[in-house]
Amino acid sequence: MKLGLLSVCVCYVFFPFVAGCKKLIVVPPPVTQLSSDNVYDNNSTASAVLTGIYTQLSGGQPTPSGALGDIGHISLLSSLSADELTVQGGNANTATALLPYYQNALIPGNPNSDETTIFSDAYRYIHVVNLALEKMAASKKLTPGVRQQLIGEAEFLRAFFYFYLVNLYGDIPLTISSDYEVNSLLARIPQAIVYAQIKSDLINAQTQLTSGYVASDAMTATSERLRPNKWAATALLARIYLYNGKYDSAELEAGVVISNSLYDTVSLNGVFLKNSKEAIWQLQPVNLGWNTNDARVFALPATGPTSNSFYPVYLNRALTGNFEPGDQRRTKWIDSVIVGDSTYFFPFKYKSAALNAPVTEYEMVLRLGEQYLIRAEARARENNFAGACADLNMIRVRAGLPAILLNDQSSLLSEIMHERRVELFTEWGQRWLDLKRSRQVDAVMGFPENVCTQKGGSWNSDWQWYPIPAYDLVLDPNLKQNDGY
Amino acid sequence: MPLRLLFFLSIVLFVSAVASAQTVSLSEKEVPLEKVFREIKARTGFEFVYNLKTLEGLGKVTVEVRNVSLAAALDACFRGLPLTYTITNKIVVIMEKLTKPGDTEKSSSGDLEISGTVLTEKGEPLEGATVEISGLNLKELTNARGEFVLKKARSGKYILDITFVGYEEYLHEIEIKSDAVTVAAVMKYSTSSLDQVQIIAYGTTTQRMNVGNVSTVKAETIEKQPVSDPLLALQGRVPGLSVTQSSGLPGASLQVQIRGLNSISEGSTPLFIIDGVPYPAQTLQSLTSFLGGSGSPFSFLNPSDIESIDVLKDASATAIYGSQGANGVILITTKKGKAGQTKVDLTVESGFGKVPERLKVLNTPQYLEMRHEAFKNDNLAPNPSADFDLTLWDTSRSTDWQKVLLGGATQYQDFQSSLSGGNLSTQFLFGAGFHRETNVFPGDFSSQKGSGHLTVNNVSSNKKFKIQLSTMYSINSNTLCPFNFVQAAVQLAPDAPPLYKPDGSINWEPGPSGYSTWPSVLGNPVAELLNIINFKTYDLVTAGNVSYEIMPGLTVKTHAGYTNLQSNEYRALPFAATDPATWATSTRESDFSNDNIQTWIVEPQLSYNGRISRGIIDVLAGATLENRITDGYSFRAEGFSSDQTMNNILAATSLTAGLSINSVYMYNAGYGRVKYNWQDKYLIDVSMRRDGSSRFGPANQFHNFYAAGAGWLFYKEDVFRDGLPVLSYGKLRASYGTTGSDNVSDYSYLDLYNNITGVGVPYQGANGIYPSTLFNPYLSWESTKKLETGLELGFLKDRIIFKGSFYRTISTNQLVEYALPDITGSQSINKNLNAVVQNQGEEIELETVNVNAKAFRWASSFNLSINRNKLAAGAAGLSAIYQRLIGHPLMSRFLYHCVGADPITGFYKFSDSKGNPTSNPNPATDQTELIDLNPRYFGGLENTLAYKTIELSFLIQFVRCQQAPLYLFNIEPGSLFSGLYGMNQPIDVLKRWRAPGDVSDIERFSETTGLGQTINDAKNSDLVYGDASFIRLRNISLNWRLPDKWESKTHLQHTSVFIHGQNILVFTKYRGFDPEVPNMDCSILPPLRVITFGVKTSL
Repeated sequence: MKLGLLSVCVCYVFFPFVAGCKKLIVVPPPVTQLSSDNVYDNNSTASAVLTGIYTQLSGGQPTPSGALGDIGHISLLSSLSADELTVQGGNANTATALLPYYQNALIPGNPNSDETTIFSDAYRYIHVVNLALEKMAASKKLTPGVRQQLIGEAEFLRAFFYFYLVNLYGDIPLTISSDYEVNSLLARIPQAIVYAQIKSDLINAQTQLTSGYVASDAMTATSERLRPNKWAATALLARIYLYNGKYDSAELEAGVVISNSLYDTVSLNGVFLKNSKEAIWQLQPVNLGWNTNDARVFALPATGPTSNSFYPVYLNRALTGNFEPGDQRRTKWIDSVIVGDSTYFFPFKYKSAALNAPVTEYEMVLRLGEQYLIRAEARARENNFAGACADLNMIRVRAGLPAILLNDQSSLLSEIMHERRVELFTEWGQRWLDLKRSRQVDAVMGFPENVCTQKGGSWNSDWQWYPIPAYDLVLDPNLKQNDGY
Repeated sequence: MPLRLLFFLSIVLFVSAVASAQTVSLSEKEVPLEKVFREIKARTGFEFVYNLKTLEGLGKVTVEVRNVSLAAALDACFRGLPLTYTITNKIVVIMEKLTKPGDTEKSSSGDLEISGTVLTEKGEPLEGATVEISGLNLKELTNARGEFVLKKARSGKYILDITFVGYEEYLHEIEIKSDAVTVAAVMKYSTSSLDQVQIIAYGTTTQRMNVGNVSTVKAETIEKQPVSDPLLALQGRVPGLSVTQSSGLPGASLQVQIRGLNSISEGSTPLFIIDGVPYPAQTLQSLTSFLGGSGSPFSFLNPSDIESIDVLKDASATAIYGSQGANGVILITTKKGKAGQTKVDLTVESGFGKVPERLKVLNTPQYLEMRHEAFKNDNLAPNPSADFDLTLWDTSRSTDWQKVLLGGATQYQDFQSSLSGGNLSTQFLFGAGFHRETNVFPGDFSSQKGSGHLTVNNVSSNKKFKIQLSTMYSINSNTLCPFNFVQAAVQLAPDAPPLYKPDGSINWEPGPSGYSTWPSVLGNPVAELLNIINFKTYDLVTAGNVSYEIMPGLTVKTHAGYTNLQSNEYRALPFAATDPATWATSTRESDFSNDNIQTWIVEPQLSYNGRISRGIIDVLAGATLENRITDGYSFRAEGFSSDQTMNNILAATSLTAGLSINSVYMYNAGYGRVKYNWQDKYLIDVSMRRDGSSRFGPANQFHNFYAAGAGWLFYKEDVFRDGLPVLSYGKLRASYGTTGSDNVSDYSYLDLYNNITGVGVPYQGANGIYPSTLFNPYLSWESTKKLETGLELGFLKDRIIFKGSFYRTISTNQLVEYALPDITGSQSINKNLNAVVQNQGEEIELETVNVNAKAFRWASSFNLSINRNKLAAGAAGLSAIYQRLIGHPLMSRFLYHCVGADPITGFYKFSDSKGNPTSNPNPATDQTELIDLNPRYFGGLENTLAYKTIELSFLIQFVRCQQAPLYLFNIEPGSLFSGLYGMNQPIDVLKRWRAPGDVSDIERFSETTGLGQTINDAKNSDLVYGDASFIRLRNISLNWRLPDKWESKTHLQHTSVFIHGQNILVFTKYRGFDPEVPNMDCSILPPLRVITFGVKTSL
């Protein structure tokens, strides 16, 4: 009896505490760090998530420090894999890291190692974008215009990263949600499905993104071409259509960009300057005292290349010998140093490589020149030879070359391919991707051109695809390695 | 006023007969009664016991008697006063006269009444004592005034049995005739360790009555050890508890583990509670690593303020702490004031500490032989711009750097004072302490601690309302040199230059390039003395209790507490401490850090204590609200133009942020406990807790924990009482329950966004952020199930006490970093896995009084702990390292088996998985030797010998069968490691391979670090692991209490002089400084040998 009364009493006194537990342990989100619960409630933090991706794309070390590179090194690594760059031999870490790319002899890393790769980098950013898209879709606190722009940027970025994944690795797992339990068991799917996702993302992004450029708040207009806009999505879409053989759409999309008054061709020395009219999307350098990482890696000092982290590469003779006489790109975008008996040519698109020089150049990601070449190729495929030549001549004439007029598709296409090679060299793997999509990779890397052998390797057609990191194969049982590894 | 006759027990009558044989003369005029008592005490030796309140308001008395019996003298004193007395065993108990309404002396039914009062030796009434006459089947509890009445007694001879926890049983024969009987019983404090008070969760008990497993270390044990960190006083004394210090520096961090490692990745730090307030087990950060992480927050406490440290181990003792109790709980209780005369206690202690042992390293001829042989082996010649030890330095020099840099003695000074006293309703204690320790290194570095402690207790006059407050505050200042002198002492080449130039300035010994030739990492050690580091800590612990007894037995109580641990650290690297040749290209830098950990806790409680049938029930229900805020930051200031202004950040040209921490932890629980004690024979204890913690995902924030325990005091059964009289105590106990561990960092379930660091120019002027972790709403507790059984026995009136326990803890739901494929966007997630860690073991304690003669007493206490730890089951997602350890101890690792130097080439060879020698072992397959870093068993043996007032005690601690990295080499013998270190080597390297055909464990000397692979493999082989068992004379204490007659002359009381020693001797086969700080390059200061002298007295 007594105990019964007591327990009633105890319950009465302590019920409020126990029942109210839930409320009593709800802590406010951390003050020094943000979480998904509050990041997307605020314009500036939501925007900072995407700024974070641009920062990381632009930042980091100029050359890969580990065994494999990160996604910011696509220009360097894919150019090595193709026939554009030569690595300076030696025992230093950088040379050892670059050599497998150069000799097309990549080895999947050790299981459980945590090396950074293009692969892991791209999926890391894709996860951020997926998470941001999910949270922004649900967020009610963002300003509608900001929300729209950020969703567009996120979709654009997802397409951008998948474009490189699908072109470097072939079939890949497609993650479009942030659910790690689902994602960790995904298998690879055919490239066509990935391309369908890329296309739908870009079409959607076109409707969301602003047609001008915005500042870091994703709202204020600016002249700095540092965040993707509607035309960046259009330009990338044009490239996607071209890669997929949708020539009419490619022509259409490229035409939209070309006809936009925001953009114009500029003189050769002005192309890579910051906010040049040629630029559709650029990345701002973030390392204190430095211009672009490309300049730091490529622009050789008087002492020539070294096998250390700076200046580990120089241009392949196959490229320097490919310019037509009188092509001003050969002199304005390429420079050389003479060390002893050797002359080393190097890419000189970015010229400002000195420490503490004022920032005059931004890293180009998408530019108008490529759009002309896309439209030229699309028109050539559609047998619009005059239109194709007009576009091609825009590029040729700027380079100081005479205009050409060709009426035969195959020679026009091979002329366009050549033009792409000398116009877009060492830019975001254009050459490596072109070789693969045009199915010339075996002929160039292997017989008859034997570039791979000249680089000291031996070619196998399987090696046009980079290997999936072994770490992932161990942890995701459904993931299979590319052939040949 | 009817004066009732006093009837005494036969023994009492006997004593009073003795008393009456002694005569007293008194001549006192108008004096307080207390003075009369003191006089009588001085003349007869009889002690007076009374309640202070009894004498209140009685005024003064005049007594004039000559050669009368004590009884007559007392009668004379008390004439006209409402007092009475009883005399028992040379103790005179003074009481108020009992005045009772009604006459119960002669009941018509023939029932008689036995009434009486139960008092302590100090005259305080004892409430709640059990008074029993089993022959009459009568049993009663005493009331708040210590009184009892047993009705319905019959005439005859009976045994009166009075028991109370913490006191010896009072057994007396009484004879009841025709009148009512009044008894005055004085209960003696029990000196048996079984009856010492033990602090448990939300209450107290004794070893005898405890169902759970709790070990207690009392103030007197802590006080005899010259340590500044009270947890170090537990080393070797508590079964199941291992305390290891990370270095011998004052304030160094400790590893505290109760019954093995329960967790794969979250550690096994117990919950620490000081006076009911949770205390952080770690400070936030430190700019140096020399304290082993950020240092021990317990070193900020004053050991002298501590009354007891109780270690709670099994489920029954810890389950009420729910998700915080899995790794055991350590309760620290501070001293409280005691009623009585106001007194002052003073202790002064000072002494010195030394590095106990030096390592045997090469002297200059041996060193040069090694270096030249290395060059010869490699077909190389010394490089004049790097190998200064051969080309530039004076090779006729041979300096014992250990003597120069570690040979000093530390000063140890400790001063403690306290003022305490009070009356029955209010007691207070105010303590102040100062402690200072210096380093063995050259230079003037010290760790100083000033502390204050205040407690006040108050009980209302009706005893229903109680208040208790206690506050401790300490200020710590630790000036550590930001330089590893130990590494320099062991590794500097013996021909390294003198530290100072003849003119007394620092010797930089510039080489051909103008730069200093001291090895770049070690530098000139005395220059490092000019670096500044100052680690200041302010530690507040305050707690309060308010309780009110609503009705008899039912008490409502609120406990509240607050701790604030604040630390400021400043480190400066001035130019004076760096090579002048580098000044042009370097900057002065100083670092600042500021940290704060604040915890508050509020715990409302309701408790009921009463009788159900023939047992006593204790019910407790309560709730906990706890909040911990951790914040801190650090930054670096650079570019000062002068060494003098480096503490002024305005004088810096650049500031760089380091850390920025700010987190909130909230914890909330409801709990309950029911204890039932059936006639002091059968004990049952059931507890439960419902917990909520902000550290876990929204889906798993709450959980229930429970435990049940039972005890059987079988020695009280007649079978044992009659059949086995040698058995004076016996208890069987068992408990089972679940606890949890929330030892994870705050917010770890959230997907936190971090700022992208290292960005020089923000993108578009804005800081970018990125999610660094994945969201896991299911993140939850590690859960530990504990099973325990124990047997406790006492023989020969508890002169021999044996305690044995067996336990098994199974920890599941392990929190680990679960590896994820890159395609998820993250490489891991904090996740609970079903891996199982099991700890199983036995603990044995034996306490004996070997000799108990009049002048000589010898007592021993022995404890032994055996723990077997293993990763009992793995789970998918566990990393390969642990997958391999399934079935083996967590703290073990697989290593190569080194077969020594190849007789032909001289390079190390290892066994591959098939047993064939190889010089390129494969880490995936060839690591086949299992090295267990856990001790198989450990314990301690303490002996206490007392002769008259001299007491000697010494504690021997032993740790057996543990393996640890040996001091063998850190890099290949013969090389300089790129000139960073001047690598001297242990003398063992002289046994190296020299020529083809030599068989040796040590490979050939080599100058080139390019051969490093075999050295790295050797460092991952059984070659550099060995037995780190040790037996250590941990503590020795000699105490001499001055004779009473000296005390009365000086007005001092309880004066003693003492010598204390810590870490006096160690016996070990371990190669290195000390098996307690094992490491391969011997760069950690071993525990120091400390010897102190002191005086303790009271005024």
